Amino acid sequence: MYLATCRVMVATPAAVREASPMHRSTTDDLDVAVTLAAGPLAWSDRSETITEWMAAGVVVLGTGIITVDAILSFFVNPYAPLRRWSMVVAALLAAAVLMYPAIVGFARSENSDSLRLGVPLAVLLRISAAVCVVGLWAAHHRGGALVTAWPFAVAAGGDIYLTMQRVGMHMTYRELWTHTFGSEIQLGALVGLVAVTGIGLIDPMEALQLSLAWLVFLGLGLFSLGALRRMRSAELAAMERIESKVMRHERRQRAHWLHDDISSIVGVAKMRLASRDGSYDPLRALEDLDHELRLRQLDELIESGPIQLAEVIQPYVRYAQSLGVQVGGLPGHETAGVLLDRSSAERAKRVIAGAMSNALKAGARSVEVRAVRDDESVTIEVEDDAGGFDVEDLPIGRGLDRLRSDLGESFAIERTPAGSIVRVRLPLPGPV
Amino acid sequence: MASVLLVDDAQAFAELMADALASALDCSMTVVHDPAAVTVDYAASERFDVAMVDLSFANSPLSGLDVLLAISEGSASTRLVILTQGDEWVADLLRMAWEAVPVATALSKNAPVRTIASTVESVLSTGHGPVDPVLAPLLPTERSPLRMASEFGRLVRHRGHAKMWKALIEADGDPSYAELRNATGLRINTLRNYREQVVSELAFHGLHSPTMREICDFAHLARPLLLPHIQQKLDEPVGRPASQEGS
Repeated sequence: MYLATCRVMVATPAAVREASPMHRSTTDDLDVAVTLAAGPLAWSDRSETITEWMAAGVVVLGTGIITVDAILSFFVNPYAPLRRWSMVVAALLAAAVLMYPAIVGFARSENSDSLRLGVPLAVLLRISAAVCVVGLWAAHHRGGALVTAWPFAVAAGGDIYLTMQRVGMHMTYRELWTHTFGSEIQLGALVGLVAVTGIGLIDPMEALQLSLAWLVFLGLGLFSLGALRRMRSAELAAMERIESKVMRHERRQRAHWLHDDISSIVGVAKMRLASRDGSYDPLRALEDLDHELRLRQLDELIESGPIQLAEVIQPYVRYAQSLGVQVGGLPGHETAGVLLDRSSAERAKRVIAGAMSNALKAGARSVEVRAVRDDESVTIEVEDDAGGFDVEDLPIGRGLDRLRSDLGESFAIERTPAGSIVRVRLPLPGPV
Repeated sequence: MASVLLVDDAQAFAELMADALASALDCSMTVVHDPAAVTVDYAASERFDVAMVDLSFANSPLSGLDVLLAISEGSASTRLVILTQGDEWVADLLRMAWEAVPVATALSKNAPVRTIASTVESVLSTGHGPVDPVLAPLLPTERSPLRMASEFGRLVRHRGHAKMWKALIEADGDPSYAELRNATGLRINTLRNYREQVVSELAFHGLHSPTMREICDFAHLARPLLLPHIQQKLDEPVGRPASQEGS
């Protein structure tokens, strides 16, 4: 029953990417409206693409223009002081709220907590900000000056684009226009405008200008949204082409490595076997080949980015095990799971390789690999029972002596009654 | 004579290992290559003394965790041994299996045969064995009781959570809120709230402020551990008080 359940669930095609057509309902529209009203910060979860940075810039620019316009009109229109100052404060607060997602978008790192702004609070703040900004704009502009709504439209378009990207909403142009101009809200606004004109609350010419301004605003907003979407599609296509090229190069490189390195080593092994060299131990040769391949794999992992200490330790533990040497003292995941940057990983590799090589050559029967970490560093120790050596007798310029001169005070060799301890202290990378 | 099950899709390796262990331990070896064949009923009927299980199966949607759980459920007396390459690719799965299931020990496939044989012998006689030194750095020093199989129910508190986790398991890569909405029928804000509710529990699994992708990857990894709880919540009668499903 258990595995049958697993099979049913696992066998279900991963169809979520192929979004099924939505049955549009009032609840769906309300869900979309609340999602967009909450803004991009409420849904932020990933690092931005270049287009999203530009969209954030559009929001900043648009909101900034409206704020400056509102403040400038403060000096042009003779309002009572209290009204003037309250308008300026409202404009600045509204601008801060509307710009906040964009500003955070510029400064945010990938690991920051993205869920700190609750949706209800985000909706409340942003709608309040929008009312302030729209109110300020409407209070200062009449007639032809309504065209100054354009930065608000552009900012709104950018903001909606950012939110849709965060949430993963993808609409075609037809859907965008239909949802906007064919929505119940749009129809309600139009009916409302006709009604207030009909009962004489506003002048018909003013009503016409307001409705035209509203349509221009919507159109500009949709245009901004559409333009940003096109840019993102182009950007994604370019990223995919680059990614594909890089992956092709990587695969070729690996194919070359497989051919050159592995084939040549296997070739040598075949030749020696064919020559019936009495000293040749095929089993030992295969173990050595296995070790060499794992070291090549380790090199690739170190090149690819931060690597866990456990991955550096593993090949040497395997090799010692294959020689019948007891390996103990190993750190658990709490310590060995620590991430090392490339420089520290290289140093760890050199120290462990050097210490293990010396221990194995000197006939160690057991080796301990220990590690201790704190917030800033990890200290690795390799202790063997190979009898020890006089540190001053190390061959100059080679092996452990070379390590001692390269690594300085972070490296130490200590003699013990049974053998020796090689120790290195490595810095940990800072927060990513 | 002791009976040992070996579950590994690498046929050549499995056959050779079975021959070597049968000879070294004087036990009867059964080799199974298809993880789907190891069901709860199979484990209950065969009642092996020891089951050695690989973790990853290239041509199967199931993982070693599925097999370990099935055997654990079917035959509590069967001692479980993980047998794995132990590289970084399976490290997370290894850790999860180690803590979620009562595993006796973990061995590297590349360990000398004599080492594997002596460890299995120790498991047969005492019920536990030394962890392979190669795998020791990948495993926690102590198993956390919060990561046992039964505790995964904390991640699936109600039907809504079950729907969300099911959609995450079925999604690939990096699902968006919109895609999860289409898969579950839940509102976007509801999904967001559900996600916030499980984030604190995910911290016990080493995920701190996880992205949606990380949550999805976790769902894929923990699928065998989540599914029973998901199914239980989905099977519960609809119409429980709304307060139990959150907002």
